[in-house]
Amino acid sequence: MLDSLTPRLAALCRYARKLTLTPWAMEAADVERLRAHGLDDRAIVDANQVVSYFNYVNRVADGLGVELEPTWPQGLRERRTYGARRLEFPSVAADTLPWLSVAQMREVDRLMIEEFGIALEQMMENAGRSLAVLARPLLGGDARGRRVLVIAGGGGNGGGGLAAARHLAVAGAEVEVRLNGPPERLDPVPKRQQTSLGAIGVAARFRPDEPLPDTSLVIDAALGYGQRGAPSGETAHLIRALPNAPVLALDVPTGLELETATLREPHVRAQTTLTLALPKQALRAGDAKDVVGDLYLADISVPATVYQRLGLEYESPFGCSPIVRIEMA
Amino acid sequence: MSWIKRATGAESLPNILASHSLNAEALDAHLRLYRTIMFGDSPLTRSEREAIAVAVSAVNDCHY
Repeated sequence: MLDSLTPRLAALCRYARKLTLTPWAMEAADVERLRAHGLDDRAIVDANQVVSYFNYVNRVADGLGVELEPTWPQGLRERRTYGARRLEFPSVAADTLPWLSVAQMREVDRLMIEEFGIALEQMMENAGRSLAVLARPLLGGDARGRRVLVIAGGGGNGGGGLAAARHLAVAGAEVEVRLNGPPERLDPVPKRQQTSLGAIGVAARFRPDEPLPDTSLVIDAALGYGQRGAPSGETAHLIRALPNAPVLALDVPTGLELETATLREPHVRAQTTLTLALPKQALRAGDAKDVVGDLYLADISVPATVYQRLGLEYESPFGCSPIVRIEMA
Repeated sequence: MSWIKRATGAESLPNILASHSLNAEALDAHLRLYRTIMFGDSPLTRSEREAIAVAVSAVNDCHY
C-alpha cells in the first residue's frame, strides 16, 4: 500500500505506523530516516505531533464509545472493526529470512522427525494451533459463534487443518469440516486428529454432492507444500464450491505448485497464508503473490542446527512471537 | 453519541468533541491543539498531515 505514495509520504507513514504500534521500539534511526527524505527538525516535530494527537483522539473515541454522527451511512456506523487487525503480529522483513525450496523443506521435516525426535503429530499440532490463533483476528477478534469452514486433505496439511478445527471449535466457533476424500483414506496422524475432533462433536465429512455452507472464514488445508499437478476430484470440486468468504491457507494455497512455481487450475485464492518454519521460495514467485495474500510465518520449533545442516544462514525470527508477518520489500 | 453524557450546550458539537465536553478546559485545549497541528503553519502539507492521521487511525482500527 505504501508503494504508491511518494517516498517522503511513505516514510512519514512508516514513522506513524511504527510509533503507533511499537512506541517502545523507536530509535534515533527512525528520525534519521525522515531526515533522509529532506524533512527538517520542525517538520519532524509536526509529524510527531500529528501521530501523537491521533493516537490520543482515537483513544478518546474508543474509550468513551463515541459513535459516528447520524449523517454517516448506517453500515459504517454499525461496523466496529476494519481490516484484519494484521498488525497484532510483529513483522519481519522478507529479505532477512532464507526462503526454502520444496526439497529443503522436505529435508527439514525429515531431520525434525528422524534426528530431533519431534514427531509429525507435534508439528501438526503446532501448525493447527497457530492457524487457530491467526484465524481469530480474521474473525473480527473473537471466534465465539463465528462460522468457520475447513477444507482438509488426507495428509499432513489436512491434519493441521483438523487440529485448527478442533482448537477453534473448543474456543466456541461453529466449525464445519469437509474432507477431499473418504475418512478411511486419511493418513494415520491426521486420522487421529479426526478422531479427537469427532470426540468433541465436530464431524469431518466427505460429502461430494452437497453444497458448502455459508461461512465467515474458510481454512484451506487441502494440499500442502508437496502438491504436484492440478487439483482433481473432490479437491477441485471443493475449490470451485467455496463460499464467498476470506480464505486462510495453511502453508500454501491449494493449487499453487511450489515445486515448479506453477499456479494450477483450479486454485484457492487466499487473503492470508500461514506458512510453517520458513517461507517457501515459490510463495513470492510471479503469479503466486495474488493467491497467497498476506503472508505469515509460524514456528514449529525447528532449531537453527537443522538449517545449518542445510547450509543456510538462519537467525530465528520468532524472538517476539511464534507467529510473525512477513513484510515484503 | 457516546457512553458518556454531554454537557449542556454541547448538542451541536461533533460526537468526538461532545464526548468529553464535561471537562470544558480539556475540550478547549484539545481543540486548540487540533487546530494548531492540523491547520497551523507547518513544513508539512495539509494532505501529508491528513495522510499521517489516516495511517495512525487505520493501525489503531479506530471505528470513529
